[in-house]
Amino acid sequence: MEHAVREEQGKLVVSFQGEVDLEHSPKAREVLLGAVKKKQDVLVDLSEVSYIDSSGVASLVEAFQSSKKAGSSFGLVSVNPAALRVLELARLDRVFTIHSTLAEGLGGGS
Amino acid sequence: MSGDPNGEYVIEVENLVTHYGDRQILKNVNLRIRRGEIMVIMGGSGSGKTTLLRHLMALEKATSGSIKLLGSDVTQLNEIELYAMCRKIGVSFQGGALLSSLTVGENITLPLREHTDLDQTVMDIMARMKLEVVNLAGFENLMPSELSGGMLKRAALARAIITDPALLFCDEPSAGLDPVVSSALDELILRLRDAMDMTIVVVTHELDSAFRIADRITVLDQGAILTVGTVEEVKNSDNERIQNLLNRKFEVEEPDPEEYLARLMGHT
Ligand SMILES: Nc1ncnc2c1ncn2[C@@H]1O[C@H](COP(=O)(O)OP(=O)(O)O)[C@@H](O)[C@H]1O
Ligand SMILES: [Mg+2]
Repeated sequence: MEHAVREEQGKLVVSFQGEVDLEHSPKAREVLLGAVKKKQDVLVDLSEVSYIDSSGVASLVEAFQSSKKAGSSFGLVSVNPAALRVLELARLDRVFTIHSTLAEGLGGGS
Repeated sequence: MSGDPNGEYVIEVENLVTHYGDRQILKNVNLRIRRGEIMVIMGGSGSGKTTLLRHLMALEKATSGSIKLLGSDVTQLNEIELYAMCRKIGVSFQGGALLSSLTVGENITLPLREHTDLDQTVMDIMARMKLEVVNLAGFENLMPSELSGGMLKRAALARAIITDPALLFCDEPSAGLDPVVSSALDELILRLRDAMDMTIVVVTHELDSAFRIADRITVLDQGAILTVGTVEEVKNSDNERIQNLLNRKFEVEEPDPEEYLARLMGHT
C-alpha cells in the first residue's frame, strides 16, 4: 500500500494505492488520524485502492468519528464497486459521504 | 451471483486418503472448488463430512494426497506458513461454541488478537461491523449465555468472518435451528458470498438449506464421493443412494458398529 497527502482547495486529500488489508491498515489509520488532527476537511481518495478489508474500513470509521468531533468534514471519493459492496454489507454506505469524483468532493461542500 | 464458471480454483483436493487408526475414513477424494462458489457437502451420518472439512482447514494430517488452498498445498506448509494461512480461513464449527467466559465482542475479536496487532479501537469497530452484518448489532457486551441458539450461530459466523477470510468453512451451521432462523442464516451466507466474493463450504444435512444456498453439492457416501453436481443435477439424479438422501433416508441407516461404540464411549 502507498499513500499521499496533499492540499487542494483548502481540503486535505488523502489518497491510498494498492491493498488496504490487515497488514497495511495500521499505516492507513495513522495517516488518516494524522490528517484529521489538522482540523481541516478531509477527502479520502480510494480510486487507486484495489482492495480494502474490514480493518481498513474500521480505520475509516474511526477517522470519520474523530473528524466529527473536530467539527470538520470527512468524505470518501471513488469507492470502487468491490469496496462499496463491503461498505454496504455493514450498512456503512449510509454513514459515509461518498463522492463519485474528486471534483465533486472538492466542489460540493461536505 | 455464483462462482465464475471460468474462475480459478481456490480449493483443490487430490487423491485424499485418510485413516483414523487402521480404519480408512476418506477414500481417494477428489474435489475442486472455484472462487466465489458455495459448495455444500452432504451425506449420511458418519460418511466423513466433518473429517473432510477438518482436512480442508488443515486441522488433520492426511495419510496421502494433497489439499491446495489458494494455491498452496497445506499438507506441505510449515508452522509459520500455516499460521499465515489461518487468517485467510474462517471457520464455524459444529456446535459453534463461543467461549463462555468472554463477552460476545471479545469472542468475535479473538482471532484478531491471535493473528494481528491491530489497535483495540479498530478491533472493536470491526467486531461491531460484523455484528451489524449478522444482525446482532448492540450485542457485543452480552455473555454467550444470554443469547439464543440462533443468535449464537450468528455470533459464531461473525467471529468466523472477522478477518475477511477468502475461504469460509461451516459445519452444520443451521443444525438444531427452527426453519425461519435457519433460512435467515442461509440468506446471510449468500450475502457474504455476494459482498465479499468468499468461497464457502457448508456441511449440512438440511436439504432445503442445501438447495437454497448451493452452487454445487458434493455427496459423500462412506468416505467416498458419490457425486458432485449442481442442485438440478443432484435433484434429477437417478442414483438410488442419492435419491435416498433426497428422501431423507440417509439418517435412518443402520449405525456403523464402530461409530456406535465410539458414541456410547463418548468419543464422538
Ligand atoms: N477422532 C476420531 N477418531 C476415530 N474415528 C473418528 C474420529 N472422528 C471421526 N471418526 C469416524 O470417522 C467417520 C466419519 O466421521 P465424520 O467425518 O465425523 O462423519 P460426518 O461428519 O459425515 O457425520 C465416522 O465413522 C466416525 O466415527
Ligand atoms: Mg459431522
